[in-house]
Amino acid sequence: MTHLLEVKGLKTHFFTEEGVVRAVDGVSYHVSRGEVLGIVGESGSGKSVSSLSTMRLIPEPPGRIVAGEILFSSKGGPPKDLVRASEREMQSIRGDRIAMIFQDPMTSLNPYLRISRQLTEVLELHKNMKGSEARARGIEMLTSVGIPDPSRRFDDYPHQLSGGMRQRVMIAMALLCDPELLIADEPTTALDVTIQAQILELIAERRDLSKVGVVLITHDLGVVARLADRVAVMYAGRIVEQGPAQRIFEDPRHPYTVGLARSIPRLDDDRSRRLVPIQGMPPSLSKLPSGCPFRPRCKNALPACAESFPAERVVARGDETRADASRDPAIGVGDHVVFCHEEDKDKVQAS
Amino acid sequence: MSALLEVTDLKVHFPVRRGVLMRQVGSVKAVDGVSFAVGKGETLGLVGESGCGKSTTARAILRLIPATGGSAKLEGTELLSLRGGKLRAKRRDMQMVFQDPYASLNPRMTVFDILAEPLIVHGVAKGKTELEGRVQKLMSQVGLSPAYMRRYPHEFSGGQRQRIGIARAVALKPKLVLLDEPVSALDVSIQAQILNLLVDLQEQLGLTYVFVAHDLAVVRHVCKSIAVMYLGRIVERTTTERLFKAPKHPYTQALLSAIPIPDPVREKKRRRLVLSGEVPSPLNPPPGCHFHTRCPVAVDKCKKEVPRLEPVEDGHMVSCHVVKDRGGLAPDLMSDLG
Repeated sequence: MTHLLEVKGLKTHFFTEEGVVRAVDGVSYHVSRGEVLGIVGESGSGKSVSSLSTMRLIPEPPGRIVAGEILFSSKGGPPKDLVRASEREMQSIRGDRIAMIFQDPMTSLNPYLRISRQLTEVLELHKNMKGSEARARGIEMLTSVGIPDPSRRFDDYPHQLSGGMRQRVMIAMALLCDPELLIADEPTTALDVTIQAQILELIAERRDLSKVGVVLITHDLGVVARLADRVAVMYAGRIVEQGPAQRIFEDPRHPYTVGLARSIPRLDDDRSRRLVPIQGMPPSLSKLPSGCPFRPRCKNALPACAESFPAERVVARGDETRADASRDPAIGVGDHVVFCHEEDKDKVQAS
Repeated sequence: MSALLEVTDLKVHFPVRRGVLMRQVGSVKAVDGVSFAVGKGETLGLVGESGCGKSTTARAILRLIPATGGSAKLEGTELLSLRGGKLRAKRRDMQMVFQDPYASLNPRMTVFDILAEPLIVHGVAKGKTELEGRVQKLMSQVGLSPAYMRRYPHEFSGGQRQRIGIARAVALKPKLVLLDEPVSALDVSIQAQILNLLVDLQEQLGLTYVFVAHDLAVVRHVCKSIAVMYLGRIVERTTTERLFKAPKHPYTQALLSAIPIPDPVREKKRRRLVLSGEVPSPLNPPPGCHFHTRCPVAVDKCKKEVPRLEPVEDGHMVSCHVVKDRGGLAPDLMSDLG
């Protein structure tokens, strides 16, 4: 089966005066229609750069995709490698077949233009829709993302809207052309929790209604648990563990995944529990340690960890790991894989 | 037991001026009658969404912004009327840690300068050797290597900078420390390091904290009691245990149900109360209970009368007509937090 998006061995590096910054250093993942892939990681883990690479929005120079393939199968057609696509081809894909929403809607909406102009421009460009037709479609979209009084709001400027409303406008704009893939980069990080809940419901609704595939990038494990079918955990430019959401949360096999889960306070744990932080801090991407980049902070580090980045190890095959039977059986299916030299599950999960 | 900090009916109103003559046309009631007390060595969490007035409350107590009315007493001394030298002297006892470790440290000062300044200003230590000794001790206390004393803030990571900010706050052994979103700018794996440090310092130095935050999971871990704010008012105040076990105010219930739990199985089963709409503008808040525009159980009275923060069970304070009419029982919206 071909996936909607399949990223293979992607490497995106930045060539700076201080040296080569290996922001994304060999990652592979896939997303199907109607599926949410959560990419979890902290700042500098490469989660945003990997999705900007998919959109071919890496500033060049200093950045460059130095290796890998980004295969996108539009409308079930043959996969097209976006790394090798021309800028013209990308322009017709971007905003039309693949759309993106960003963390901060204030900086991604043009403050000088009315919402109406920004929405209809997309339709003119991709759908050749003009005038009252485009206007009607724009208002219809604002309605569907839950903006109250949409025909009046349509002619507002971005600053006249609240943060939550702006994020809804961003989502409306992203969904205007009925994209097949939606990349949401920390879509709720700047929002209050009650508004976050609204936006997450909205994304889930769109996924179910129009079967859009979603790459959800976040640092919040709770958000991932709520929405993601599968999860990829990134650290220092690499995916260190990947698999169906339930498995990643219940049976994590990478010391970083385990550490991350232990370090966060959660609403349902023992209140007096002392948090177990991950010691140290993430490495500089231009001065990565040899072997596994997590090694300097890892409690399980072995001599082999200094020598090489561990090869992919399959913990469970995709067909054994079907998580949510209530939804499409093709969704959320994927191998649970980990990149770690320590193969003893008990050693990794011991506190 | 008398409280270390006692805040009564605190109000902070900002005038809104318009026109050529800059006449006052209204006011933003950022904090509108907030009362709470914190015992010595305890931690009170002040939580709510952006614009609810939680940071303004903290700043008004520290006299960083002027209060419009009310009272704030530290060990019985009224803080809001202190002036000049007396206020400066009192500042020793009350310190603040800010959210943004990048913006709250002077980039032109070394760690030594930053940490020595309060010691010099308050005449606690003088002379290079004594100051260096004190700064070194402070740095190791917050988990920084004293060898980095001559470095500048930009040479440190976010977590390390927050350690410097904390060291500055505890340098004078204050009685009260106001923590304004101290971990929300940090990466998740670093947050736990800072939270543990705050807990340890509290124990070692007998500090009393007011912890301002929007992240209820974090607050739950470090606070003994919690006050939930909405549009300038406290809607519910009780012990942490009670608040999470049996939240009574509809807003608290919605807030708790909105927070995702990192567990996919539970998340999918959880019933959620998703509030519609947004927080109204503080410039023109709705009459009566501020929350009635989004409240799923609001009755007529809520639109007219401001509910008072009253005890419904021992020590559990709620400001809600519906809860009061039900004899202190929470309206059944959902409560499947496990």
